[in-house]
Amino acid sequence: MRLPSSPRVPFRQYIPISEYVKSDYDRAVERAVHDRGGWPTDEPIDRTEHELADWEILMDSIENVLERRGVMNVDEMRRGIEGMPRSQYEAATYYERWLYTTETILVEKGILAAGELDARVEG
Amino acid sequence: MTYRSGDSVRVAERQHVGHHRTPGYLKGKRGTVARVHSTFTNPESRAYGGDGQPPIRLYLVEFEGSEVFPSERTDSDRVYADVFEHWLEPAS
Repeated sequence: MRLPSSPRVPFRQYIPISEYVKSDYDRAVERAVHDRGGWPTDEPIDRTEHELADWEILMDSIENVLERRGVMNVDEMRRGIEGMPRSQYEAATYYERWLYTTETILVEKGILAAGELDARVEG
Repeated sequence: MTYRSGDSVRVAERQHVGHHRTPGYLKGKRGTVARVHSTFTNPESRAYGGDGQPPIRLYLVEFEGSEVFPSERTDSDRVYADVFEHWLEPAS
């Protein structure tokens, strides 16, 4: 079973780090993938709303349950997203990032085995 | 160091590899403490399984738009951000 594709707000074109370090918004302090406030762009902000797919709502529920049960906290969740490889971060939708970090943190804690989710999905 | 409303502060311009809540576009920028929120557990240790102790004071800091985005016409704009105490330095 594959996750259904979700309606998505398209990502803006990726700006190489060398580009925005040159701008006066940044003082050459290296930033992680998520830290994009002040990036220069001429594109207008896309304010269109989109419907959430069922799997996205489910992802939100799973994350909330894990937090309430004390399995993982919001800071761990954010850290997992911030640690995504840049190419994957840029390509992923909002809840794809939640899925990424939830799997990453649960594997890190030994609750999931590496590859366990993939095996279940393929099986 | 503890700050009060109206104090001039500067956001530390330091490299920090790992989770932290201070946005890059504010690092090195000067602002004014607008409000002292309260103390909160430290996300920098909680992000790695720590307990976030000791709690750290969180401030609402006001920045002039021209300080944050010097190339934009933002004379009357203000940027407000929550910044933890250990990311602030006194500014004269």
